[in-house]
Amino acid sequence: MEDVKLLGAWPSSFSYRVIWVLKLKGVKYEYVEENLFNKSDLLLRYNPIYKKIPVLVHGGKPIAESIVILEYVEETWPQNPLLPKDPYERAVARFWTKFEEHTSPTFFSFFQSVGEEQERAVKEAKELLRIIEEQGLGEKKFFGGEEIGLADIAFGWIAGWLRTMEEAVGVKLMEDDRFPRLQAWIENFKAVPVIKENLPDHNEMLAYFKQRREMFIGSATS
Amino acid sequence: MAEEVKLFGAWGSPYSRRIELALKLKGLQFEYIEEDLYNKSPALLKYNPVHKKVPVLVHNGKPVAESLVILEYIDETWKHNPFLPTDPYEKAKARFWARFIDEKFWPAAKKAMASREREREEAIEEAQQHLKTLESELKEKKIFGRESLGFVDIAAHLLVWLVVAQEAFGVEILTEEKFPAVHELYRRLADEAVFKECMPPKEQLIAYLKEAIEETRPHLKALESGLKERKFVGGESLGFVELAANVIKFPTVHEWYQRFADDAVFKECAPPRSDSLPIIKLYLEPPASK
Repeated sequence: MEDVKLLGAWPSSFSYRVIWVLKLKGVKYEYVEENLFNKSDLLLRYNPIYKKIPVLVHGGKPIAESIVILEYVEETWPQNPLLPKDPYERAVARFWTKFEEHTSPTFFSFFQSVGEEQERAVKEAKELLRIIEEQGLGEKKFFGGEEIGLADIAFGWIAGWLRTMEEAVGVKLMEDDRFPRLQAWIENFKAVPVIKENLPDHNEMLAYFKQRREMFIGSATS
Repeated sequence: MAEEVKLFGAWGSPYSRRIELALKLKGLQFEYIEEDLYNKSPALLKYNPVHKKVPVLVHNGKPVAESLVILEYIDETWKHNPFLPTDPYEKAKARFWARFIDEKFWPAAKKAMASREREREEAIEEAQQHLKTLESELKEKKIFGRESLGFVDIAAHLLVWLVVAQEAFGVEILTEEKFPAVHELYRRLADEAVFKECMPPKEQLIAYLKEAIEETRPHLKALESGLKERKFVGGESLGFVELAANVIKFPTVHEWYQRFADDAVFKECAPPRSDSLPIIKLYLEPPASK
């Protein structure tokens, strides 16, 4: 059995994606916490192109980019599959996973900007959440159907991180009752045992996000 | 049931062409539907309501969008001549490089085409950094795929667009001297018979790319003649930003309008912005939405 190592960072939802999937599949791994403000030589060696976490190292071979890692884990440890067998349904799951990736700039902007730029980001973010709820999730319990799948993992940050971001920024994107199905999904997602047991501490996250937000406001207004 | 494969595409789009490529490499019959991106068909809007973009593959009535997702779908549905390796680690590497091309390299290359001066220089430098990365990954391998063109090579097909765009916009990013391995891959892709079928003739593509810039001209000509009586010609840059944004959504227009606005003749005749803005706005009342 070759050893598995995960280079991650505690506030990062990308890092948690890999933790969730490794635990869902019962894969033993060694976790290495990276300080993103002082990256280790190991990280720079294993991910020289992006220099980012997460990085999975299996038998000494590194894989970077969280979605690429998830697909690798799925193929290497097929138990408790994240993707259905049917190619069409797999394509749908991958489409929504890609969609999530394309939304990142908007949510970053929401968190990092101020004034008019932020107003635009807020408007756009709400539209994206609407699309995710109506066209991605639809009437289903999870994006993956009855069980969580790849797309649920990709959208996991909405369940564990969005509320805290809203609190730190002082602006609500998911106003009460405006997104009932997405709200229900959040509850269901967080109820899955592996997810429930592996979410960052709310207060620690809030302190961290508030600090980052101060920093962004500072640089935006200076 | 007979297999029904349709591809909604646009001949000038590298993402669209890469799917044509993939289908031909698999030897598949398919119906091709050319989309007018300024007048999208109800079918396209039905099959890709989220992005309303090409390419979209429709297999037995079921639509798949996003080019890399489509490539994986094709590879999983028709298992002969595989694009992706079977080994999970090699597969991961292939996915990594295809994403790198799409998300790092290509946006930098497009930015280099669309921008000017300092911004352009920076974008060229960035694009070349990425080419350097691709160069060292390719090294002695002729292609990214094992024995035959694979997933990453299909993604890299857009290098052929790059070279044509370089000529159209007078920008140098990929050169044989600086990036011999990547350049050789480009040559291989450009010469590959199946690929050749999927490329519009070079002159046609150059004309298309240039037209993308020129397309605003008839609109501006109309504007100019209509406004001549009001003693208004051209305007300051900001006025044209609004014009460009309202009329066409090509990034290359940005470059075009800048040349236009910088033209000495126009500058002489430009009234203060405060005068010209209301006139432009009046003239550009958007028509009823299509």
